[in-house]
Amino acid sequence: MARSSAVTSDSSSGKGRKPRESRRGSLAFWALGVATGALLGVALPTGLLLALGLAPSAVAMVADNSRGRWTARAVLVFNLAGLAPALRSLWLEGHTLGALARVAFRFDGLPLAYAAAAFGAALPLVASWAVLAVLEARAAMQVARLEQRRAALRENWGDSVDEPATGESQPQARSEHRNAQVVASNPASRRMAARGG
Amino acid sequence: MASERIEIGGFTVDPQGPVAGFAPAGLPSFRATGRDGRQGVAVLCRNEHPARLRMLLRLLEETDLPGLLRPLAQGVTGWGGSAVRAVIYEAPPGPALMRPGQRSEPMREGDLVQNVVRPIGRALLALADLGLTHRGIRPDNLFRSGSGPVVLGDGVCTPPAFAQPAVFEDVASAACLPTGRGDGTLADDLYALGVTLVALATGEWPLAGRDDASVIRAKLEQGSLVAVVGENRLPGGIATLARGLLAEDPERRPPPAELVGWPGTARTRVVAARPLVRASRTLRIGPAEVRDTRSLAYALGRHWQAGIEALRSGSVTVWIERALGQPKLANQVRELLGPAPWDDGGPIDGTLSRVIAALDPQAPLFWQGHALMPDGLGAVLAETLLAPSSSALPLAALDSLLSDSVIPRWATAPGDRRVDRTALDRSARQHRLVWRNQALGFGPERLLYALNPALPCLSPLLAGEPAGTVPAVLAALERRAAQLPGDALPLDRHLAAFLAVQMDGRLDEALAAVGKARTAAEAAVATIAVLAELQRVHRLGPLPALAGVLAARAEPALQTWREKTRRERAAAELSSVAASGDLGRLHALFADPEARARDSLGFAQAQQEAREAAQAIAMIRSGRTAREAEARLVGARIAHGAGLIVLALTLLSLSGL
Repeated sequence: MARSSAVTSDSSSGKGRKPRESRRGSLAFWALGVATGALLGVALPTGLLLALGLAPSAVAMVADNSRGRWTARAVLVFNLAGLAPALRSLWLEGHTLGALARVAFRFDGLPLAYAAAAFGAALPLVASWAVLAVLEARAAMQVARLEQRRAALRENWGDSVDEPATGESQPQARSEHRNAQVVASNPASRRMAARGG
Repeated sequence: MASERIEIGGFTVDPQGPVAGFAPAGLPSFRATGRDGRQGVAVLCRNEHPARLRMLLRLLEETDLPGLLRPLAQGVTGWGGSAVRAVIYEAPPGPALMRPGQRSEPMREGDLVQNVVRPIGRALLALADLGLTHRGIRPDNLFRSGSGPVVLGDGVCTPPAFAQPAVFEDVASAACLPTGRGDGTLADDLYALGVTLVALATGEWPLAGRDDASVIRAKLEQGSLVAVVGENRLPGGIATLARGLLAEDPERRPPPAELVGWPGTARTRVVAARPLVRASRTLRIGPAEVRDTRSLAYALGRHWQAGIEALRSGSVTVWIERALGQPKLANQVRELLGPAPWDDGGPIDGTLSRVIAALDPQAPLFWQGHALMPDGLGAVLAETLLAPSSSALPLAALDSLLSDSVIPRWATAPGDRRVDRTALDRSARQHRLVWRNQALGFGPERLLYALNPALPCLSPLLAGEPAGTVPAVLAALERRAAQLPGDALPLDRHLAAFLAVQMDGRLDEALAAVGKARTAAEAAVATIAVLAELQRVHRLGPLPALAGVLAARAEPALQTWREKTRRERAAAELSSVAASGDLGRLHALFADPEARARDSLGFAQAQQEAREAAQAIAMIRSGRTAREAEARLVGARIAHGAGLIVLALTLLSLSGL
C-alpha cells in the first residue's frame, strides 16, 4: 500500500514537473519584462545601455539549448564584465541620453562589451578542447594498463584465459572444477593432502 | 633347478640336498639349516595348488603341537623362474611308515594303539582346539623313529586333502576334484585315520591299484568298512576302532578325546549306518548301473550328459517311484524339474545339480561332471586359472558356476545339509560381482588372490621376483623398475588384484581411476597415487627407481596445471622429487587435490578478470562521444567560473578599492 502510494506520488510529481518549469519560465519572463519596463521608466539611459550591451548574452541564451546553458552563462558574465566600465562612465557623466551616445561608442563602451562577450563565447570551446585532451590521455592510460593486465594473465594462465566465453569453455572449466573435487574426495588423495603431500 | 642357496625365515635351504618321501603330491623338498644349526626340511609349494596359509600361520604361532610335525618358518621365494611359497618343517624323526602301494610288516595292535592312535588323537585334539583340520592323515605321512610314537606330517603345503588318495577320503570328499575338497571337518580326519589304521594293521595299502572311480564305486556298493578292509582280518581292538572311524554317519565316529585314551575311553555306540534302500532293478546312467539313491546321485554327477538325458526322459523319477519305492523323493525330483519344456536346452545344468543334492544331501556340489565342496572353490579356481588341464575344472564350467549362482542354489536344495546357506549366498553374490567386474583390481585375478591368500603376486612385471606382501611387491617393483618394457606402467591386472586384496578393498577407487584414465600420463599419475598410498600405509622407505619411471611416464600430465608458474615449478622439481623416492610428494606435484582446486579456481578468476578487462577496454574505446560531451560541459563551467572571476575583478577595479 505504501509502495503504491509512493509510486502514485512519484508519478504525480513527474507529471507536474514540466508545467511547473513552464510556469517558472513564464514567470521569469514576465518578471524580466516588468523589471525592464521599470528600469526603462526609471533609468532610461541605463536601461538602453544594458539592452544594447547585453544583446550578445540574449542571443547566447536563445542559441544555447544545452542543459544548464553554461556557455550562455559564460557569455553573460564576460558580457557584464565588459559592459561595467561603460555603465560607470554613463553614471559619472550625467546619466543622460547624450552621455549614453558618447559612452556607447567609445572603445570601453559597446565594443568592449561585445568583445568580452565574444571572448566568453570562445572560452568554453577552448576549455573543452583542453579538458577533452586530458580525458583522452587518461582513457589511453587506462587502456594501456588493462592491456598490460590481460597480457600478464595470458602469460601466467595461457591464451585460453583470454578467449571469449564459448559454449564449450565454461563446461570445461566446470568439469575441471568437478574433477578437482573428485580428486579431493579420493580417500588416498585426501590422506596425502592431510599429511602435506 | 636353482643352485643358489635360498633364505627362508632364518633357514638356509640347500637346493642340492633333496629330501625324498616327505613332501606330499611330489612337491620339491630340500634340506634346510637354521642359523642355530637346527635341521629342517623346506617344502616348495605350487601356485596352482595353493598352501593353506591361515592354518600355516596359526600353527607357526603354536609352541605345543603334540603328534604334529611343526612348521618352523614360511615365506615366498623364487623357484624355477616364478615366485612360490615355501614352508620349513622340523626334520621328521624317521622315515614314513609305509610308501603308497607298498606292502609292509603289519603293526601289532598294541603298537598301533600306543604309537599311532593316541599320538594322532592328541594331534587332532590340538588341531580341533585351534579350529583346524589336518586332511593329510595317511600312512606315508606318518613318521616315526624306531619304535617311538608317530608324528603327523604336512597338512598345509597343498589344498586340503589334495594329496589324499580316494581310499582315505569318504565318498563325498573322494568324489571331489582333488583341489576342491575343502577344509572339511574333524570327521574327515577321523575317517582317514580309520583307513590308515586298516593299512597299518594289515600291512597293505587298501584298494591298491584301483582307480578313484572304482574305489568310490566299491565304497558306495559295499560300504566303507567292507570296501577298505576287504578280505583282511583286523585285530579285535583295531576292528572295533576302524568300524567306528569308518562309520558312514560322521556323527558316529569316535572323537579325538576318545582316541587319546583308547581303549580305556572307548564308548559303546551303534555304528551301523541306516541301511540304504535298494531298488528291485538297476537303472543305467551312462556306463554305470545303480541300485540306490546315493549311487544314483554320484552316477548322475559323474556322467553329466547321460544324467541330463535320463532326467529329460523321465526314467529317473519313474525308477525312484517304482523300482525304489520312494514316491515322496520322486515327487521332490519332479518339483525340482518343474514344468519347463526339457527339449529347448533350458538351464538343465543347475536343475541336475539340485536333483543330485536332493538325492544325496551329503554329496558335494556336482557341476558339469565335476564335484567340489563350496569351501574348496579357491583352490579349484587357482588350478583352473593357473594350470588348466583335463583334470581341472574347465574355465567355462567355472564361469557358469560363479555367474549362475550355482552354489547358493545347490545349498537350498531339499535335504539336511550342514552349510550356512546365508553365508554361502552372500559370498556367492560377492564372488559373482568380483568375477564379472572388468575394472582394474577386480575380475578373476581379484577372486584368485582373495580366495587363495597363500599365493604370491604372480604379475609378469615382477618376472618371478618373490613377493608375498605389499612391501615385498614394492621392493620387487623397485628392483625391476629399470627393466620395465617400453612405456609400460608398473601396475597390471595381477598386481592390482593382489594389492586390492592385501589392502582389503581400500584401494578400489584409486585402482579404478588407473583403469579409467584417458591418457597414459593420467594412468601414470593414478598409479603414483596407488603406490604412494601403499608407501604411506606401510611406512616404506624411498623408492627412487620406481619414482623415476613413474615421473617419466607422468611428465606430460604436468601440462594440465593451468598456472604457468606452478607448472614450471613442478617441472623443475620433478627430477629431484623423483630422486627422493617419495611417491607422496611426487603425486602432489601432479595432483595435490587442494592445489588442483586452487589452480582451477585461480584459472576461473583469471578468466573473469580478463573478461572484465576486455569489456572495460571496449567501453573506454567506445566512450569518446561521452567524453566529448563531458569535456564541453566542464569547459563551459570553467569558462563560466573564469567569467565570474573577471567580473568580480572588474567591479573591484571600477569601484576603486
